[in-house]
Amino acid sequence: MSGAGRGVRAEEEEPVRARDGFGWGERLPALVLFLVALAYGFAAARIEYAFSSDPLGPRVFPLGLAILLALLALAWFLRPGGAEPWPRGGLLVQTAGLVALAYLAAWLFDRAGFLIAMGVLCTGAALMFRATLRQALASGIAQAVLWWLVFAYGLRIPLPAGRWFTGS
Amino acid sequence: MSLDYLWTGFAVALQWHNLLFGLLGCLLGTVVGALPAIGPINGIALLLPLAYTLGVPAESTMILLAGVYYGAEYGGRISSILLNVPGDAGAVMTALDGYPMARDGRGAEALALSGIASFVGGMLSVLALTFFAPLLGQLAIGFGPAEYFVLMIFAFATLTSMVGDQPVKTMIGAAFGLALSTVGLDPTSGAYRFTFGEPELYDGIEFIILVIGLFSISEVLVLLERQHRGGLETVSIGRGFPSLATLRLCLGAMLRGTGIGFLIGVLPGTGASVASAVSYTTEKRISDRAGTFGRGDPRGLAAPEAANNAAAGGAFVPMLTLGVPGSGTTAVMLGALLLYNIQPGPQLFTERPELAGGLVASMYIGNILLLVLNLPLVQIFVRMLLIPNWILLPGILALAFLGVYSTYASSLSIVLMISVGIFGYLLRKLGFDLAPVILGFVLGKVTETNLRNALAISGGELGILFASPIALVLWALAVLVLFAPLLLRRRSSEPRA
Repeated sequence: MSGAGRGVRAEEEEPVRARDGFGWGERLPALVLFLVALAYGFAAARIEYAFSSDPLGPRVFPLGLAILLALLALAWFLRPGGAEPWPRGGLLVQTAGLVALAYLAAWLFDRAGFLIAMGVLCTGAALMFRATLRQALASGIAQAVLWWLVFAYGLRIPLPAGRWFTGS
Repeated sequence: MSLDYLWTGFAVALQWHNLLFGLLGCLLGTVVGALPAIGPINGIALLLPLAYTLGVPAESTMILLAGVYYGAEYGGRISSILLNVPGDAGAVMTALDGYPMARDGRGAEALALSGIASFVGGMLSVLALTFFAPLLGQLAIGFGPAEYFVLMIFAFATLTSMVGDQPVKTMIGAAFGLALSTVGLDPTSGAYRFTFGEPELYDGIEFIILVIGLFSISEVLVLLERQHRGGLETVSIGRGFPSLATLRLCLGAMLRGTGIGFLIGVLPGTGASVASAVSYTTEKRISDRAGTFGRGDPRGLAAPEAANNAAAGGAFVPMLTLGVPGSGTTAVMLGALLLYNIQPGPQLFTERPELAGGLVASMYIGNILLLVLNLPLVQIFVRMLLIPNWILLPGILALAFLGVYSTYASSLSIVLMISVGIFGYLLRKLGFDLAPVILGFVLGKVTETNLRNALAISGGELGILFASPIALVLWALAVLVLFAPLLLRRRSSEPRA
């Protein structure tokens, strides 16, 4: 699922490796993957079980996968390539902001209820996708109410009203 | 060979509620495909939890999701042709000649021609699916655990060889998906694996959280970035319909595209994007004598459009008969079947004819519906392109939240989904394709269980994996698909004497 590609400036297509020389933008994640593979293999070797009806047991398959993943991580480390540049500056702030907004909405979901959580999420996200404040507010409130009506009344799926208001 | 399953299927697919599910799927699929923001996997990922939570029967859910799948293959062409932005991965090649046609004022002709090519590809592939799937199913009855395990190896080999241009990353993705599938209770030994004492992980990683997070949340983050880089220029649709001469000119391209698309679709792990790319390059080699491809040649539009729709039909063959998805989207649909406790396989056509037959029959009906929707009503779908991102993308986020919450009734699941989404975004930035991850995840349990069952039968002797002719053929095919592209590349790069 590569999705759609819009007109992208040439310098933004520049591979990560060309920018940081040694290609740490990819080699570092490859090292992390190698460590994850080791940890996964270590945890697999320590799986406890009393009895297994097959000669392989529950450890061997994940152990094999751990070895495979570690080898592949090394191969990736040795020959990185194909990564996109990481967001920087304003884009990085926006991306981090959208992630924070999503976590905030998840935190509000049970506490403040569906309507407020969705209102915050949809309004904030609309602003990040270049709506004016008025457009964002209108879209956020309309979407929160619309989805509430569709799910709670149309599909009869219960949505949280908010612990802060119901006290339960 | 009996086609009883198909007649049972038509009886199911023609029930009014299933007709409505099919129509809804086709409509939503076309919209999902047309919008540059979301592809068929996202559409299916967002709809699946709703259908499951609302208790929609398995056959109706599959009819709905299949409608979204091939509807998206129709819809993907709209933004490709008018915006030069593929609506989904399968429509990338459509833009090469479709967009130049639209810029020449032949947008309506290009849309109609691609709609007809989609219909030809879709309909012929369903016909092939109807006859081919039960035959493959009969062959698969002879499969034991060893053969199934080797089949999975073949699927992963095909995936590595055909998906993306970085085999190491494709393999890492698949291995990572396999590793994720080992989390939870091991039913054979009763051991808890990688659960860290957390009861929420005892049943393993939840499929819906994984699929919505990986695809929908990461897509919104990627689109935020793309928006930062520039806007879109829409070309007007114009008026017109392909002449009989144009249709005649494109017939060969459509038929070749259908054949290539279906065969590539049948191969495990590959999908519409590979099919349309191979079909375009093949057609260019065969037909582009005047050097018109890439400048608005209708054959360059018809071939990949027929191919991506044919691939969607072909991808159902291994999914229904062997339980091996033919594409990333069918991997999600396989996950949907498993959610309903249905294990696809050779018996599906005889034991659950209402499901297998209903699905196949709904595709005949769906393709006709889609032709009707996509020829006279295309203007309505074109208007969808005018929906601004600030309405559309918050809506996708809201649906992702709702999908997960309606299934698990827990805000912790939403937090997990967002975390998986960030992980998916990081993978995409690092140049990983996400389809192998989901494929590894849905095939993980089957792969391990069959390996362990095979070795239980043989008393631990590995020779059982090479004992039967079927297993040997599958090993040979796996080696062939892994190394043939390397050899071909080497040969083509050698200087000619």
